[in-house]
Amino acid sequence: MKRLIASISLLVLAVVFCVWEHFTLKTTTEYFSSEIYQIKELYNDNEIDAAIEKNNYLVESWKDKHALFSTFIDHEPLKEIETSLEAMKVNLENDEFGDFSVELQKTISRLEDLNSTEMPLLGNIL
Amino acid sequence: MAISFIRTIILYIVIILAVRLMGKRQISELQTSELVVTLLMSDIAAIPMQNAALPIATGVIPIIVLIACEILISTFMLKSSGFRRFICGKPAVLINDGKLDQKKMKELRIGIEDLEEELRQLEVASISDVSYAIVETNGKLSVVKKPQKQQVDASMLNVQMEDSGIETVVVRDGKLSPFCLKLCNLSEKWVRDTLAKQNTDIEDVFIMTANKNKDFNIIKREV
Repeated sequence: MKRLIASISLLVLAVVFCVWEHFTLKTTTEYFSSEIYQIKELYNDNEIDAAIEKNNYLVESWKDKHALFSTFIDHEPLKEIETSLEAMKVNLENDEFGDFSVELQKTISRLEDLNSTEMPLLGNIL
Repeated sequence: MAISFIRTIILYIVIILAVRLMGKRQISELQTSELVVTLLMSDIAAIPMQNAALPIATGVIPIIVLIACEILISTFMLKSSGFRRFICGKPAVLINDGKLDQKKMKELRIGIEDLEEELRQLEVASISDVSYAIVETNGKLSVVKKPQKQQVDASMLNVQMEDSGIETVVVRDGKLSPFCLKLCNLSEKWVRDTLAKQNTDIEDVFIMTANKNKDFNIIKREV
């Protein structure tokens, strides 16, 4: 009986962990995507300093999230997003606006990819 | 490298705990589901040990889920014989009342050479000595010999044997085992008095065995 209770408890813990992981990832990627779109708008409105500041904030925020997400997600995609955010920052600071647009799209696409590959969808499971 | 080192220790502890949680069943005879779990656990644990880019949770979570599923399945198997038959199958009788079932052997893909090899390992010299041979659900062969080929025991000779109970190791490496003493209804005082009569210190004892009739055997430490 004790083993049965222990095994059910472990299963429940595993399910809770997976649900928490799913929601944390979803909310974080959505937040970062929306913030990046805001950077894009600031850039389009020619508010470059504000865009740089927001980008710096996102870079620091992502480092914290990276540490958390690396406990349950492969490190490679997380590193790629970090690199993209850093590249966006450099492009903005150096007025490399063409490269900035490319990096911005890459970052958004990587965030969406990260979210979709971790979702427990049939395609991912199979 | 340090990461692999630490992860290996963590995953080793996780697997030991997992095997302990699954119980003594796991350590002895393996059924189909248990064999699957055992093989999977070792493979799963190896992945995060070797690849530091993967989180350790990729090893721990699947192991936890496997243990939980295994325990749940074995609990259901206890409650439902139908479910148990579904998971483990049924024992198959290869030799029934001295007669070899060739159809069953073909079904199980067991050749006569395989059968003879198994019988020899069970110290049965000839198929004609066997009354019943059953392939159990874990794949092992159980044999019941014909009466005239069975080993003689005390009851057949009407001999009354004394029950000396179980012999256990009451002292191991200089330390007393309270569990084994309790098993034999012996006391720590008796052990110390016995050792004193043998002019032996408890620290000098490698192994001391005893049973409920106070028959004992002492092996002293050599190194």
